[in-house]
Amino acid sequence: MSIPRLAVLAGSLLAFLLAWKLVALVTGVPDYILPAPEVVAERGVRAIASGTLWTHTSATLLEIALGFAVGAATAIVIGLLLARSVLLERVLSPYIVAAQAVPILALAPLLDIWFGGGLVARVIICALIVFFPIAIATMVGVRSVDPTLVELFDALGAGEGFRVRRLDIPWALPVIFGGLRVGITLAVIGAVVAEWAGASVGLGILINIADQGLFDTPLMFVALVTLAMIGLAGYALIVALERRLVPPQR
Amino acid sequence: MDDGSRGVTDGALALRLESVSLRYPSGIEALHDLDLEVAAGSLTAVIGPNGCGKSTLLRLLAGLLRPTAGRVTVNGQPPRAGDGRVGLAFQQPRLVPWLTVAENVGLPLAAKGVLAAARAPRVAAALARVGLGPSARLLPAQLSGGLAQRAGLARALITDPGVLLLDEPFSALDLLTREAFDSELEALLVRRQPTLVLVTHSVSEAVLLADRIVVLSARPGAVVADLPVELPRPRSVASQAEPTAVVAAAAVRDALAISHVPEIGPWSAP
Repeated sequence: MSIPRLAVLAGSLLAFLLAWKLVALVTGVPDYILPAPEVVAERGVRAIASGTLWTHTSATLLEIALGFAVGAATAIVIGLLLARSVLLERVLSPYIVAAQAVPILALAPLLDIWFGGGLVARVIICALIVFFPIAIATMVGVRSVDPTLVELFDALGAGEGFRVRRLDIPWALPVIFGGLRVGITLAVIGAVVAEWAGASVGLGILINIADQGLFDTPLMFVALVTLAMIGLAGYALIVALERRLVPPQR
Repeated sequence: MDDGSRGVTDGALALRLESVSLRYPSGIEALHDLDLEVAAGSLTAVIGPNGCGKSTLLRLLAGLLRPTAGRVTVNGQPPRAGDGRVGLAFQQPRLVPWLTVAENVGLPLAAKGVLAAARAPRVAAALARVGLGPSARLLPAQLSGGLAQRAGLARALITDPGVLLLDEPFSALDLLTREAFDSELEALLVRRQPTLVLVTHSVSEAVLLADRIVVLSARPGAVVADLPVELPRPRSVASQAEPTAVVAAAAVRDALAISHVPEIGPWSAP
């Protein structure tokens, strides 16, 4: 790799912005349909200065962080149980798959009513959408544990907890992290969906405000770019964590 | 059989299989009505054709399997996996890839909840015993096949088991490494005296290491011959050329020829 990573990143970002600008320029559409990048940037600076952007971003960040943490933690525990118990897998997996197949967008208003319409409801909606890929990844990862190592642990008389900590989880970790990478991006979607189902603040709400009342399309773009950046940052965080935590494999 | 160079310690345990049969859930009968007694501190090699239930026999002794009929005992009690009385070294070393050699060797103690500080001196001693001290901090992927097998052996020995079970521990090694290892193991066993049961399909290895060679029939396995090896210790690869060794090896090969039901027909004369 001769070109530094940062240079590649900066170059591609510049190319993207130029292409955007070019499309806006060539088509000549007004700002309320496709604002040029510098218009969005200017709107962003104003939104930051007025404190609007941070108000909404902080609300969404909290939902994403809590939703992802709750969803991922539950998914790893359930995934472990599903992997180790054939009976449990037979009983639970149809419900898990069916729940995943029902669009969360349709489910969100219902969940919002059930869980009182506050932060708790939004965290649960976000956690639900995060749950599936991580639970499946954990189950598949733990199922793939080398059976000769399982026999070794049996021969050592290792207890259930020791086996989970020292064999199942380390073995499955690369696959679990695959699920976490998918999960963190879904958490961003989950937070916005949850906000649409009932919230007064958040980036999803900011999009609604900008769209419906004001036709402030540049502000909508500011919210979208912020969401994209949150997704990227979360993903990068997971990848960094993966580099630190995943043990050397066979 | 004991030539006196090898005193049996109190720790060595006697093994006994009484009319043991084992049928797997798949319906395959691996062992049928097998009787075998192994004296405390003796060195026994079990040899037989592929699929004769040799590995099944070791799993029974290690407490990983229960017989479907008959009784298996280690010093009068049924073996229980992980009770530390029995050490098992597998055909492949089965090292945990993300643990260092030292951590792998200490795994049997860690599994029993022995704290790291208490494990350390025992791990160091076990590593030294098999000559792996300098490799303690390496990962398994950094080890040659021979060193990995030594790590597996050190792990089996760390609980100071009264019984050491070796399941074709050298089959993955090339011939030269294997011969060197056989000699080392022989020396190791002369110094420390657990009861040893070695499963192998190498006649020369059996003759080099064992005081007694038990020949199993093809599946379902039963004892077809029980032959003593009266070769003085310490032995080395060169001992194989001694007349007693040659005679013993020939006797084992004869027994194997009778026991072995060939899957393809014998060579026919032109």
